[in-house]
Amino acid sequence: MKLKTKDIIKKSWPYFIIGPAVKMIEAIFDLLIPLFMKAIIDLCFSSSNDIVTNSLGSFIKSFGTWIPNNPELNYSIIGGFIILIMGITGFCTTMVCQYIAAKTATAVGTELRDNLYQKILSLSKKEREMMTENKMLTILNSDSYQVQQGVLFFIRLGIRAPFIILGSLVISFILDYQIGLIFLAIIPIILTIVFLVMMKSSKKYLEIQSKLDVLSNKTSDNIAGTRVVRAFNRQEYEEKSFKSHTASYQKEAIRVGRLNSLINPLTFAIVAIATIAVVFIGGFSMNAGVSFFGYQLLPSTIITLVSYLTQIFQTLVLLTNLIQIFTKSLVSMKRCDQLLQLESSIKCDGTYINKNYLFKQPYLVFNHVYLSYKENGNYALTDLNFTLNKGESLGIIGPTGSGKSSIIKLIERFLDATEGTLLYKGQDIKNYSLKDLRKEIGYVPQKANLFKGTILSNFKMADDEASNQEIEKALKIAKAHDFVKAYNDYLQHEVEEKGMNFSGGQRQRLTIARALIRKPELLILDDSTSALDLLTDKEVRNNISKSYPNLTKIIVSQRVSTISDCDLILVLEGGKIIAQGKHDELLKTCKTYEETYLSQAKRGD
Amino acid sequence: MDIKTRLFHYIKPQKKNILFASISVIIFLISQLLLPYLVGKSINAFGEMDGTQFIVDIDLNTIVINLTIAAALCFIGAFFDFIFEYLVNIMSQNIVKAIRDDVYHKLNNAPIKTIDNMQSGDLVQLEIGDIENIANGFLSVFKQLIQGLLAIIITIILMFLVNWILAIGVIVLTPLSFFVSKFVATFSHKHFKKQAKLMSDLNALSLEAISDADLVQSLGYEKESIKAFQIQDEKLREEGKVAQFSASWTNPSTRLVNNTIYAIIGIAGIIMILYTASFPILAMNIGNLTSFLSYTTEYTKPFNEISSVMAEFETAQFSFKRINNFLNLQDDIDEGKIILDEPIKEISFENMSFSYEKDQHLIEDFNQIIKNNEQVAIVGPTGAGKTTLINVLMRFYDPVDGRITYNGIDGKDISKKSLRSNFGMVLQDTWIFTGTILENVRYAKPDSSDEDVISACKQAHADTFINTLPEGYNTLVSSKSGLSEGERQLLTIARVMLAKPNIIILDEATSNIDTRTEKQISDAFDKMMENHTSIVIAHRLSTIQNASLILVLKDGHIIEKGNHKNLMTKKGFYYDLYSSQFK
Repeated sequence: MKLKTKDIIKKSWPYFIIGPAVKMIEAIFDLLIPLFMKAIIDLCFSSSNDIVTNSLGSFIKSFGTWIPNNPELNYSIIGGFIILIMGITGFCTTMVCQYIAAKTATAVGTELRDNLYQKILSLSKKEREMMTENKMLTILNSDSYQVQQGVLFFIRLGIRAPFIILGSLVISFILDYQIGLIFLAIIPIILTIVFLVMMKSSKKYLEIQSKLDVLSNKTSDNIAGTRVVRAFNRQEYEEKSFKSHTASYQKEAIRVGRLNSLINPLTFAIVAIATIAVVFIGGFSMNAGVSFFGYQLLPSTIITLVSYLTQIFQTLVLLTNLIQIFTKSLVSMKRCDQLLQLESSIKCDGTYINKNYLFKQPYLVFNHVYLSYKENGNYALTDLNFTLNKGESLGIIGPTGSGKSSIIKLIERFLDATEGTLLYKGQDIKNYSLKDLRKEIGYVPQKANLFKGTILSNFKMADDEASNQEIEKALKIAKAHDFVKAYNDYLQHEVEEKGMNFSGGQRQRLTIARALIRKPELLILDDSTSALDLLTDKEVRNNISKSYPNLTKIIVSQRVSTISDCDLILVLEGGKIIAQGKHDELLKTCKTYEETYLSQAKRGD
Repeated sequence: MDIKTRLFHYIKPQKKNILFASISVIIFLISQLLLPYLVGKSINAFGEMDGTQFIVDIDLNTIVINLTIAAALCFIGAFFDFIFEYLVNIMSQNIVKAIRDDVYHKLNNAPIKTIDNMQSGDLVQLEIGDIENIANGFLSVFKQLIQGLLAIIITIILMFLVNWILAIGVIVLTPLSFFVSKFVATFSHKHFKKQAKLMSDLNALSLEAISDADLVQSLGYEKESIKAFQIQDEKLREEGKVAQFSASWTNPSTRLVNNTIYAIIGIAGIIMILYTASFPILAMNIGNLTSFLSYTTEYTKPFNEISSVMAEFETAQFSFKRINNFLNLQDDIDEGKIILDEPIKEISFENMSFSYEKDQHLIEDFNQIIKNNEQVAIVGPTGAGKTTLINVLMRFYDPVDGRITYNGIDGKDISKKSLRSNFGMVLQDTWIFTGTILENVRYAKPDSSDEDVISACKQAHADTFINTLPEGYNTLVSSKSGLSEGERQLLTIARVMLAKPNIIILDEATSNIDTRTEKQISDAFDKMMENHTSIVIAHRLSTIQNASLILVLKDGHIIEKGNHKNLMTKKGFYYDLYSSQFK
């Protein structure tokens, strides 16, 4: 079943009803308060009444009269209390809604993130490379937050804002339908203006953001290249070019600013004019005898209408902000779905375990294997054929980009072959469960990366049952024990992000030890001794052979010396095996191999 | 410079903008705030109070006059509001640009040591994030302060004009709203900070696993990794809930306070109208009440707005402090005045000692002369001081003791610019900036033609791979994407091929290039360097056998020197290192 963001949100559906419903209590009170004020004014000062004053007035009167000789004072005090109580009740119900909103939104956000993360780790290399690391991280961290914000504001204001606007409109129609018409006219005007400006400025905002990215790139480039910049004496040039970028950023930012500067004055002017119009019409209607509209407006009605006008205006500004948040949130939802809908191209439904595996069968066979990273693209590997027996070692050599690492990716099943078959222990490699397959392989990648934590935690990642003795043994074989021993805290020694507190050589030795701790049947060293000096490199390899005589090994390297004693050596060029055999044979039969060997070691004198 | 001086330094050039912005905002506020006054006056012209009854008696003239003035003021106000916001924006962008340029200048002129000691991420944050904080925080506060304070003053005056008794009431009540929203803001800010911290922890966690997803999958560690993520995510949820909830107090509590004040002022006003007949001093009527209810809202607004930007203001203060500290760092002082009028022929280390930290002994009492056209190779185990030697040679750092002379002149007396123009250097860490291949290579010699650049790339054997890129020499590359480490090294070598300097420094420059290509490049260098001095650091000893002088470094000392032949017959450290390749 493919999960969608919508499904996660749907799980919390009751809160999407309860939250806004509770909030409506406050919204209704907010709409009633000016009406009560009007009723009080009319009760006190006016003999003529309208429908609002009649109903609310009798409500106020129903509380009784305690100050008999001054009923006006009595009504205004009671009315005042009613308004206060409505305010406080409204506040309490709102806070209930705010809590529901915060709880639901963070729950949705958290579940979404958990699902996204799970999905990312289940994807094969192919999908991950297609999505790119940066995009996955943005979706995981910022798009999920954007969705969370959308939920938050929907529960908080999604219903309230339109309700207040509609409510104010309806009440103004009840009070005076002609003025209601004025209101009806200004709402779309304000909405359109604010919305147009915001749409345009948010588009511009993207441009600004990309200009800011340029500045940020330029700065980090400059920091990384401090030495080169100075070595070439290019400081002044750098500053000049940076200044031209800040100038272009400044220009764009001022342009957007100018656009945004329009919103406040325009809305101010529209609302002010509307207020003036209300008073003006009220004045004419009251001009007794020559009544413009044929009836009279109470002054209290005018005061009330003005406050609804303010109410409408404030909520409209809020509403446009809301629309922006929702739009962003919808875009983010789509991006999250895009990731959630991905399916790993590596099917790991295989369950086969070769219990009857015999030494006589070859351990690994490549049978006319082709690999292409893109559909119908050029082949990265072309027609590979070779056989590796149990307990033997395979060396792979070739220039940068010749496809060495691609072979490893196929064996680890980060990718599947486009054509041809891989036989692992006599069975198609796809028949194994991914977990079991990888359990048998100790893989030391090119980039020797450790994870943040301790040395111990890194080993526990590979095998959580590893004992300290086993770890010590692995460290000794990988020649890492000497420097680890020197730490006071030994295995508890801290590992910083990516193991940056170790030198390249130390990292490589630790990652080799980490692979050994898994007691693998097959050990893959993907150029993983490049940072070791030749002596140490050799010692590590000798240690491994001595301690694990039955271990099958695949060693990828650019150094002839690292692979020269392998049982089988593949010479790769342009994704093809141009020669295979033992070191001595290759020296005679393969010119490229011989040249490579000579370029690394002129034995002459 | 202390913070105030620095701030003043940036604000000073904006005096004109500040002046005009202030005038505009005053005009705007007066127009805006006069509106309720004029509306109140018009409503008063509807009729009169007779006892407690309102008797309609329209004075149309007064209404028309007042409302016409109001309409005019409304347009004037809108216009000047626009001018005000526009000017503040220009001002803020001017200041942002000035600070950014200054920070960048500092980046390029601070001593290398300073840059080395700082995290690159922190510096980018300084240049981008911190300055954005200043723009958002300082300037929005500045805007709110000018506008808010003036609005408060003008409103107070107008309220006193309308009715002094209620005016006192409003002034006493409104700070309530200020304190409430300030309290909420501080409280929620604290939780948002915590949330931000947890968020960045979660980011770090996911970044680590996602960028090494291959490894995680190969170790079969997915389940544990997901669990660790969920635990951290759950922490974030808890804190996020509190943060979002605490922030959501702002609007409702402001509304509560405002509704309360509205009720109190409204009712008090009504009661005052009721008693105005008996106590004329109260002097209240319906029109005044209308004005007052507007003023109450107008008066509380700036308080809320100022308190809501206070959190941003604090962040901006921190940011500005950081920027000020950075800008206060000492520039790289170049006491060297001599400009070399001929190429460097001879370099001589005389009893030179160097260390990055005090009490550390990295290179000690180093003596060596490098003559013209000599091809020097430096070998030795990691940590022997090879790269450090280059740092001192290029005057990225100065010797702690002793000296280095160039053509017999003490390095400290030579201008850095003149000294460095003699060298071309390819470092272990390749540097590719965001731009096209052509731009990246041309960086070494800005005035060179496309043909020169291409021919340099051909010499560096980079031409072949460049032609396989989507847009050849115009392909956009950056530090993060596009090229393999070996390809990047080829490009940086092409740079030096283009610059054709007197002295070439190669610090592990070919470590990621396959050995055959490396051989071809070194042939090209040999051809180019016939009349050049070169200094090469290499792990692979095969590449340096032709060097005329090999220095074997260990723990900051030269332990052996000579050419390949001599060193091999000596059967010392070099011999061991070399023979290990063939065992």
